[in-house]
Amino acid sequence: MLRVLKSELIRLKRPSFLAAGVGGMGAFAAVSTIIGFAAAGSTGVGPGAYIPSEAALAAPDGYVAGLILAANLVGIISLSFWAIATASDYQTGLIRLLVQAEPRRWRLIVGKLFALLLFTVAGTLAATITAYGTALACAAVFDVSTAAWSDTLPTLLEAFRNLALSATIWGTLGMVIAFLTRSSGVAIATGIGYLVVFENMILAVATNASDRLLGTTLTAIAAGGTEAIAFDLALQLGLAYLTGGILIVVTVMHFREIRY
Amino acid sequence: MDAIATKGLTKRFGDLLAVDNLDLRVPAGGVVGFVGPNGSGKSTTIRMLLGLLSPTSGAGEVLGSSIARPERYANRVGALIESPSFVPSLSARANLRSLAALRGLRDARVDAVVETVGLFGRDRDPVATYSLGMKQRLAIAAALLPDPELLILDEPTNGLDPAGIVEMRSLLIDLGSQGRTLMVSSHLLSEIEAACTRVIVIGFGEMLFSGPLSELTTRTSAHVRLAPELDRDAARLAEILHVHGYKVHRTNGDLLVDAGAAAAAEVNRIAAQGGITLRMLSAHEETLEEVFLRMTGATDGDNAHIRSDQRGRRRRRLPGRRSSTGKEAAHA
Repeated sequence: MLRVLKSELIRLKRPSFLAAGVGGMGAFAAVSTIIGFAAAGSTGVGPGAYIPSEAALAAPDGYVAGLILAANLVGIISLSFWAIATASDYQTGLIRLLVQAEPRRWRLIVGKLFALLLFTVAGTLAATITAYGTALACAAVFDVSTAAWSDTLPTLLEAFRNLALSATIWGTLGMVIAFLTRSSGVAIATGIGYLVVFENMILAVATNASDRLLGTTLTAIAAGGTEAIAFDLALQLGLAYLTGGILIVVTVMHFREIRY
Repeated sequence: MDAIATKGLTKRFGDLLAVDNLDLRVPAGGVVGFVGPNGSGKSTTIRMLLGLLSPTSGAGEVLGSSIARPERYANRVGALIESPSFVPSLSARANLRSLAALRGLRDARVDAVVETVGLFGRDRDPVATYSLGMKQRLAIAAALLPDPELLILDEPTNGLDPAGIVEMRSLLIDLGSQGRTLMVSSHLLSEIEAACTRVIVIGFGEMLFSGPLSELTTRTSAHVRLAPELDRDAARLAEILHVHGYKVHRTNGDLLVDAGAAAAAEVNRIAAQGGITLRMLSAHEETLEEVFLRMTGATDGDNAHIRSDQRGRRRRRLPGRRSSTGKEAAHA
């Protein structure tokens, strides 16, 4: 298993990937935090958009409000990254060499999963640190009181954990679709299309479904729980989605014919 | 021990029978050519041997282990499967390091294979900047990483220019001289015959020939083509030659005599003695490539609809289609 992990990390550590992935997560966290402070208290920003109130920014955990705002964008980067890393094995034909070198296919999947998990942890850590730094700067610029900000490290760690969990499930979704379609483009379009557009359409006609759907679950995990779903339930649902996704990939990979 | 042995190996994709009851034997040591037209089932066979595809029926062994358990021989086999497959934005070295890590090999092995295939000096460049020839060499370097007992190269000359083909051929001869078993597939016998000691010919998923290259060489035929000055003499000339023990066929007004170039002078003399002047006399020795085409047919194997029709009709055995293993093959 460690062999597969090492092999995957060598391929993932390309500068363009790291810049787009880890750098992208950090950048989105920073931009979201700036928007959160600049637009604090705004209303009528459209469906699905969340802008913290000035009171929320001044609350003891106000410095993570921007990070929560960035959660879906970080998730989209994670989905894209996992999808590209998975589909490129098929698009380049590398899968032929990988399966020939390691015929125990489940090891290839689990090794890739851990490698992508490490990447996601690195990316969300970068996002957390960047969001906190940006929040400190924005508080001064936008004249938001930081007097109540407290318990910085535990709160940041909790926000980081929630963001990493949410991004990992986003990524698993990208991996599953990319694995089934062998196309990163299709995976990214399908994943984002479902979570950003289709799920909102479902919610428009079936509001009571909001405590079961993947998108609302991921938002609840990243935010540490929402009005629709408590954190514990969201976590259970998220882990169920995660496990289901991994089982699909491992099962299909076991039986898949490598024809191309 | 055979490096590869299959019994009744069959692979079907829906209606398409890609590999049909293939009994394959590749003895350990030496370079074996695995030739057949495009779509003849070579790559499918190789993929089954490497665990990428599972057979519809039949069985096989690679280095003494069942192909149902490829993990038992994966570290003793290296392969280039169809086309070179690497991460283009990574350097050749990084690609090789990634594959070496997967096999639990040290980076020193990467240095060794880079040296073997002559990529030293360019190994830190992105693969995207490589020519097709360099990518093929990189793919062979990847196949050599585990220092394999068995090396399977699927169409290693694909897309190479003539100089690249010569270079590849000499690399194959070098690799074959190192004591390992090489199985090299190609749709052109001429591209690999110089490197091979044995050859396996398949067409439409069936084995047509398996044996030493020298045995295939004995299947080449030769003929002398001649035409009398006056067309009305053709029948009489054929009769005279027949009396002298020659087998003669008529084709498009010319006569074809089953004989090598050395007989041309005697044929000419016999015609002159019979009072017949020749307006044309030429000798032709069949090349190995022509034997190969005669065995496999001129149809591109990728034309599955033609193939399907042929499969339905064929039960007629053509000359030169009996393999040295005794397996009979029919061909339309």
